Parts: sequence; structure tokens; C-alpha cells
Amino acid sequence: MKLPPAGRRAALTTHVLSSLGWFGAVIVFLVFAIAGMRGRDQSTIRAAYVAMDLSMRYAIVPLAFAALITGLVSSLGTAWGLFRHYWVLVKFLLIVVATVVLLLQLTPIGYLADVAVGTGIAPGQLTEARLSLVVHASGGLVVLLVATVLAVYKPRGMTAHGRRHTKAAATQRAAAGQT
Amino acid sequence: MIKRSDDHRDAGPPPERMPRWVKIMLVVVGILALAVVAHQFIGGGQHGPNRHVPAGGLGDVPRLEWRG
Repeated sequence: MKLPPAGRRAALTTHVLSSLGWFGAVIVFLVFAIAGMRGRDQSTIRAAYVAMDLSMRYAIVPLAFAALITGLVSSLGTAWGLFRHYWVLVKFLLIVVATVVLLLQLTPIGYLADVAVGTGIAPGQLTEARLSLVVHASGGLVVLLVATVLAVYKPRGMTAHGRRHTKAAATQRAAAGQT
Repeated sequence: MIKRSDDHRDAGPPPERMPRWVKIMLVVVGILALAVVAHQFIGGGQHGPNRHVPAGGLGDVPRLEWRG
């Protein structure tokens, strides 16, 4: 199903906004994760993990889903398709993986926020869990950066499905032209 | 008049191969997957988000009220 031009522009605008919003929110999250890791005073550590928990639940996860859904609408509603071009397919898979990893991080982030508010986190405590958030946020930024580069540069390359679709469409156009 | 054989043209263009950038990405993803598996063995435990959360739950730690 093809979207009308106004629908295509609306889906693309929402997709760009949510994707860049997601990228920016993860940068802020990484700042909080580093502050929580390196912070020496309890109020800074507590504030960092509470802010990470809030930003994750009410900004990053909704933006990730918005980017995923609007990306699907933009690809399926236009000639690009979801499975015709390698860059669209690879970008979609990257976003799906990033969203799944994001959802899996909700529990440890909530746990750290609860501990930070409850008993507090001493500088050497829960080091692995705190470092894990820094590593995952950094990896997430790399994945989102690659996805953005793919969307901007749109590298060439059609999948086998895309080639079949293009050939079928050309045949159909030729047949229509003869009648 | 000698007619040249153009049979190879009838078959159409050769099938397009997978682009190099896709192959490079597949290699990078494979290396990352191997690194995660190696981390599991070297770290002696599973690589998962709940590895940092105690099995018995949070105990006496108060939950943040906005999560209920």
C-alpha cells in the first residue's frame, strides 16, 4: 500500500524527529551513566540513576518505538519497501536489535535507581552493573550512528526480492504500454 | 551476412551480488557475537541484563514510587 505524498512527508518527519530524539536522549543517558559511575558524592549518584530511570522509561523507550513504527510506515508505504534494499533492511534490523537491548536494560536500570534511592550506592559498589550501562549506552550510540549514516547515504544494493520486484514492475509497465 | 550469437544477452544482466558494505557489516556483527560468547566463557556467567540484579529481589530497598 502506497502512502499519499502528505502521509509520506508526515511519516518521514516523525521518523526523523523520533530517531534524532532517540540519539540525543541516549547521549544524555550516557552522560548520566558516566556521572553515576565516576560520582563521589551520594546526591550526584542518586540523581544520576533516578534521572536515567526516568529518561529511559518516559523518553528513550517511547522514542525508540516511535522511530521503529514510523520507519516501518515510511518503508512499507513508499517505493523503498522493507526488504528491497539492503540499507533499509539492515537499518531496520539494527533498530530492532537496539530496541530489544534497550528493553532488556530496563530491569538493571530500575534496580540501580532503587538502590540509589534506598540504601545509596558507595563509589566502589555495583561497579560491573554501572559500567554495563556505560558500555550499552556507548554501543547504542554507535548503532544509531550507523543507522543514521545508512539513512542519509542510502548505499546501493538491492536484495534478491528487490530485484525480482523491480523486474516484475518493469514487465508490468511494458505490458501496459503495449495495450 | 554473418549473424553474431547474442545468446548471453537474452539471459539478462548477471545477478547482482551482495554489496561489499553489507559483507563488512556481517563480519563486524559476527566478531561482536563471538566477543559476547567469549565474554560469557571468560566472565564465567551469562551475559544478560539481570545478572546484576540479586536473585532474591530487592529485599528491603524501597521501590521508586513512580514505578509502583
